[in-house]
Amino acid sequence: MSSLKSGFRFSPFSHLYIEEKALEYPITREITSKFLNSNKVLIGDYREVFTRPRQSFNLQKKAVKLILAVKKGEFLFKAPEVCHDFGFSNFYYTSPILNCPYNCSYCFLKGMYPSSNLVIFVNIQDYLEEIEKLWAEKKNLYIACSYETDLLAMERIVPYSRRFIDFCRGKKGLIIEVRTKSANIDAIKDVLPAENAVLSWTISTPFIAETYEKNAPGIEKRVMAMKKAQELGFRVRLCFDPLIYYKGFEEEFYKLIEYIFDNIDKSKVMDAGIGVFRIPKEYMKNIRSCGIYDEIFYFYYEEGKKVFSVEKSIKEKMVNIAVRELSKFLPQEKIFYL
Amino acid sequence: MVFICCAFYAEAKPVIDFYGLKKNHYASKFDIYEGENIILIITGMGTVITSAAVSHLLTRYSAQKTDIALNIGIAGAVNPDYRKGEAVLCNKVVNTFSERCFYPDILVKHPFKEGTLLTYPRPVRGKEKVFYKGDLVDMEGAGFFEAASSFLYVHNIQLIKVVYDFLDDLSINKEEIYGIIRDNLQDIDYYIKALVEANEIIKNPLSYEDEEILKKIAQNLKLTFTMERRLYNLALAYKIVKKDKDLGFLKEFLNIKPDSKREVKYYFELIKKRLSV
Ligand code: SF4
Repeated sequence: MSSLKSGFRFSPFSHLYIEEKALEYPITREITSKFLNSNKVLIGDYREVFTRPRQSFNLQKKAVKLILAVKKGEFLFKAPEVCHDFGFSNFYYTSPILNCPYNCSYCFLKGMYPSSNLVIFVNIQDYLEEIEKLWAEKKNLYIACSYETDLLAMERIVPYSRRFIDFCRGKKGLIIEVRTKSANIDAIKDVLPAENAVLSWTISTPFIAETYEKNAPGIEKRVMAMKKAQELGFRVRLCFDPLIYYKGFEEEFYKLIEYIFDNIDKSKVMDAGIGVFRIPKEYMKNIRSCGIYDEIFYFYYEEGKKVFSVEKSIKEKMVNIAVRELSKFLPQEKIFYL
Repeated sequence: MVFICCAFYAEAKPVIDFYGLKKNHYASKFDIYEGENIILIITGMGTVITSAAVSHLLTRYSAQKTDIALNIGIAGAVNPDYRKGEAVLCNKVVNTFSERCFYPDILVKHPFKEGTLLTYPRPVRGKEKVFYKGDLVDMEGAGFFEAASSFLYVHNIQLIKVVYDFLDDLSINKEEIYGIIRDNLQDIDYYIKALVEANEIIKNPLSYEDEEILKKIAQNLKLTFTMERRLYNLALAYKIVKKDKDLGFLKEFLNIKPDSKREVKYYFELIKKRLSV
């Protein structure tokens, strides 16, 4: 057979796999109405599709499908050590969506899930009820709800950011964080901000954004979205995580910080988090054994007890640069690093 | 490599003609036809024999995950929206005996209708005998998928069924089968090419030649299994980070046969150093 160029195209969102149980939820109807031309395939349990053996995470990224499911079992998880807790002891995370519409080369989800298809759990109300119970028990509670996805980027498909913001409004002691790389702030411009809802933007230097953050909006767009979020009255956090070292990092990072604070209101920045690229050993093992060939996973890393990370000296260098530059605009107590 | 599985000769004949495949006279258990990059097997009817044939085929030709397997054949339609002679790409396959469901990953645009295939252990006559939700009925699909999914990426296992009857008449007309399958082969060929190209994107940066060099070095140096894996991973990392740089420089280690463990260690460390990124 000759190797002709067939001119084929990938088919993103060509299929919606829907658990039969999910059919009765209004969110399922809302989502399916946005994908009228997609094939709807009924499934018994989302794992039949999501955890099939021998899926290609990277190829599926080019033709991502939606899986609509009803979450069972645990809804909230204690955050692992590799995450920033920003000084909160009751730090939990929750995942109403698995996977992300962006495709960052360094994404840890590649080692965490066997598939890059997007799973949307349609029983969001059950999540909120679980959070409410835990909040009643702990009094002080911090919930990250966008760590294994990008909720704001998904807002046009399923409006969960607004559900979380509306839910936490007025609940003293409860903080909800929506982490994002999205510029999609207009999707929630009609939502009344809540004191205890934090919109948290991950920002990288332009070189890293262009090299490794495929599909995600460029840095200017993210900064403009942050600016708009502040104008709308949202609390904003800056996340410089993961920092990845390269020749020219220092210079670019300096310019990046200048650019950010030229555009946003520093007095309205809640805080900033800094973290150097690291990946749990188990995820790295999965990535390297299942046909993922992104170069970022094949550089030399130091093997720690639970994670792979860059050499200590480079890590310290990057953190020092980041803290030094951020300190020009933010007080020390607002800068957190891992 | 593209592997095509058909249940019986009348289904296979148009494919054999289309690609100009030649019979492999040394194949014993199953009839096999070969072309440059396409191998076709006639599996026989029923899930068990189909599974056996698919496993035999993929093992015999040392299938890689990025190879492709297609089940091409006729089916009876339950869905009245289909018309006779229409090719349907199966997005769900139900083994009605075990009640297990399988989902081929469909990643590229294609010209076919889609549907759910129900695989029954025996011929089904009359739509009222179909107790599962589905569009098409056959006797092989689930066996094909289940066997192939032990070898290949799930996006490389595809089933294309051409509607032959509506479960009303079970008689077979070979010429008619030839005609309806032949009429869909242009589209099927387009789809195969699309799949081949899609797989190029995720292919292992280590070429066949690279792997042969690594294997030979491991053999000559008598590396342990763990050391051999380490060598492979270092070479892979080198190839990725150094952007496809040739591994030819390792050829100087090809004929080294150390006499002692100390020497093995010495050469292994030397290679590690050369492959560091
Ligand atoms: S934005 Fe985050 S979750 Fe999404 S692909 Fe990038 S790293 Fe992964």
